Amino acid sequence: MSMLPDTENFEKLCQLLTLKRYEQPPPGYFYHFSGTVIARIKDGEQGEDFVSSKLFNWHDNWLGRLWTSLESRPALTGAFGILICGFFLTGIVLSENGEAAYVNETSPAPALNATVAANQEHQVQARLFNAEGSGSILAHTELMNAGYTNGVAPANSLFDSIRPQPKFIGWPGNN
Amino acid sequence: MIMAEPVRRKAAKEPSEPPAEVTPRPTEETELVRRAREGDLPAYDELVKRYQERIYATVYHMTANHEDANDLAQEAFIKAFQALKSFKGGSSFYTWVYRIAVNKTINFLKQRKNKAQMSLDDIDFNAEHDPDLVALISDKTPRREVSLMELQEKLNAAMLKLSEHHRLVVTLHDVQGLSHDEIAKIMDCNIGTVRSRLFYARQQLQAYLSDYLK
Repeated sequence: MSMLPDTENFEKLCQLLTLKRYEQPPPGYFYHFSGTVIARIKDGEQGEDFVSSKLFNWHDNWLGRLWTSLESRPALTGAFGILICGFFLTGIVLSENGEAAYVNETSPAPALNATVAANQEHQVQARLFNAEGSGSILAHTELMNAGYTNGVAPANSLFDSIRPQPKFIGWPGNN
Repeated sequence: MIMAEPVRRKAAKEPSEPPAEVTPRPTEETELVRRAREGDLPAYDELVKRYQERIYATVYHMTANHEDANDLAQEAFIKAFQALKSFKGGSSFYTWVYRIAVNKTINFLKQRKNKAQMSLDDIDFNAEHDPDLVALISDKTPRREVSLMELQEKLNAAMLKLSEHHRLVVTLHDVQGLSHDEIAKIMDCNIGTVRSRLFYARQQLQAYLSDYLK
């Protein structure tokens, strides 16, 4: 019995495979093909290759392997999705609770609040008047920046660190 | 539309023969490659036109999807242009481009392993007159056109069941008509490996398509 690759009887299979040669792309496809390639080269476009090899490099890096494994396992994908959603929900809930607790801690009692507010407002007005009288821009801006609105000190916010700090701008020697 | 005609005429003239062997004229090709390496796009355009049909066909038979084959074939030529400076000329440009296209296709197929979807090209009408195919189908079905389409789908589905390397060998040898030696160069392996892969792939295909080969 002959078992050499080329002598084994694959005649009918080879006949059937001739069908593949008749599969043709849409008419005119090759007429535009080289033009498209050249246009993409001219545009400096690197196509999918650039995305896959430079940004994600699907096969080699961990992100690609994770993506591939997620694609092939729907249950794992669902679990991963739930994990991500849970992470975000926990973050939102924790941030809201923390903020509410902070406001409760820093806000004085309502009855006391009104008198304290009135006193602070008077003090601010007096200091503003003095500041304008002395012509110190620094003092004025410091007061405005302190945010004494309605006598309630503002809660610390995440944006405090990025709020622009006032700088003294004046004539040399004018302290 | 204009370029589709020569393909059909070729198919009509030699219906059961593999596509004509590419016989690059070495001097001219070397000159084109040299010019393309210096950034001469018209020269590269000429090279693309020479091999576009064979590269597309190989990628298409590997993916069984026209859109994927289109993207991959274009990207292979683009990558080849970008890498032309590293082309030492140890093999022919045609073998080198083939290797780029084949590697790209195999990587692509590994990624999309679980979502293979066929988008087959239409069968050329000359297939109805191919004596081999007529012999295969005429006994069973009076409606030849439907049967050809059915055969096409079964054949492609069977091909997709093969591993990438086995599918590649069948594509290059039995569909494209390349020699064992050329395939070995493209796949960067020895001829013995090509022969054994071809044998195994044919056995597998024969088993998958046994109903249509009786």
